[in-house]
Amino acid sequence: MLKENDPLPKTIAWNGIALNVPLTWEIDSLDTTHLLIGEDGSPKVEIKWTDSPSRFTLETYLKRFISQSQKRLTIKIHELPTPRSFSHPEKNFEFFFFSWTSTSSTGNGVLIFCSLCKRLTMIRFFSDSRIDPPSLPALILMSFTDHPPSDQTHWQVFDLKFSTPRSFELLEYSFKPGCYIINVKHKKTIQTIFSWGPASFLLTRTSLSEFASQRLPQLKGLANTGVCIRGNYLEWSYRPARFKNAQILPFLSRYSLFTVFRICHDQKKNRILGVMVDSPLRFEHDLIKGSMIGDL
Amino acid sequence: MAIFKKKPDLDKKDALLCIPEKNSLVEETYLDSGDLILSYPALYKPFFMNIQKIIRRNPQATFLRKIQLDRLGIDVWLLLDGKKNVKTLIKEFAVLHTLNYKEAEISVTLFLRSLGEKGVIGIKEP
Repeated sequence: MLKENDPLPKTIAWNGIALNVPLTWEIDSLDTTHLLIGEDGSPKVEIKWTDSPSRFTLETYLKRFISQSQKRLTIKIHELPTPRSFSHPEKNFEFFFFSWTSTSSTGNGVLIFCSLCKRLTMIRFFSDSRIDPPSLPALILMSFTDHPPSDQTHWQVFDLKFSTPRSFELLEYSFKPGCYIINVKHKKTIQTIFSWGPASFLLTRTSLSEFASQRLPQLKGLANTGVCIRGNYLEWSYRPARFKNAQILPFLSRYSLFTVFRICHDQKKNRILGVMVDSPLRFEHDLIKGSMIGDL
Repeated sequence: MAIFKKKPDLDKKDALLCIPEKNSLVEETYLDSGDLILSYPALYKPFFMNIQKIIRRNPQATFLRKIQLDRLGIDVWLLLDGKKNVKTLIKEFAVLHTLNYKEAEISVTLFLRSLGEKGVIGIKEP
């Protein structure tokens, strides 16, 4: 929900990290451990993070990270003192402020080490304004978190908003106009999030069931229907064979996955949302029920 | 010393301020399905022009090329009024289809680029 008069009304949450930014800022590029956020094609803030090795000393780890960042980004980093009035609600963070210069631009930034999740994050602002409250960089920094506060990981990118259990890790993603797909995995269970749009166009000449069958031809059997938090849904549960005609060999059935797929037309957002869970153990209806198109 | 200086490429910020304009020679025909056919004269390539000269008495320099737009394409086409810049078109298209700005930006700019390459629209710098 957008808050009035809030300078940072938009949340961006990706692969464990989250921060608030102005409404007009958009993700320009992303990777599993990288985010570049800009406005009208001009970069505003860049975030790069890495998980620490099992054994390390913070000093050498920081030095190596700074050296690698300088080479990769072709910038020079200069240490700055911590602003006196700066404090962050997360007490597990250690901050190392710096300024940076490249051939074309300058700015300020901060390295953040979290003693709880052992993640090291570099936040680089493309502006010379100091990271002193109540400046915009300081407000953004104060909203930053690098691990989810609960047992759910929150995701919020390009109007796609959902949560997954914290144990699930990002496996693959694809953001194409009209089709977003994110895969997360825990052990051998894979959860896939789909978002297609605009739904009013995609469903002009076809039904939701036909659309699902076109996009996912592997769907088998009849779909159950029901009502979820976003509207009416269709749900398939089936056990796909590993290869063609595998079902005629009974001993192979134990290697097949249990697949549940739910699809829903969110009329308010004009999107078609889908969640698929593939598990080797059982039909994971609970994961679907707790998803962005979960039960009422 | 370079005699012919290459015009500097537009950066993204400037490109978004450009104004697309329809080619005045384009004719519109709506189909029963709701799709829109845009017909416009296109020049023959020199190779085909030479073949025409051999096999025809009155070789023609142009032929009618057609492209078919679906509903999303039509919506962008109808937004082109020769006054709105690309950024305004993106914003209006995003609102029209409840799309995220970034998603609309990629869709609209790719579509405008393909129309521009075909000669259906021209782009005015602000």
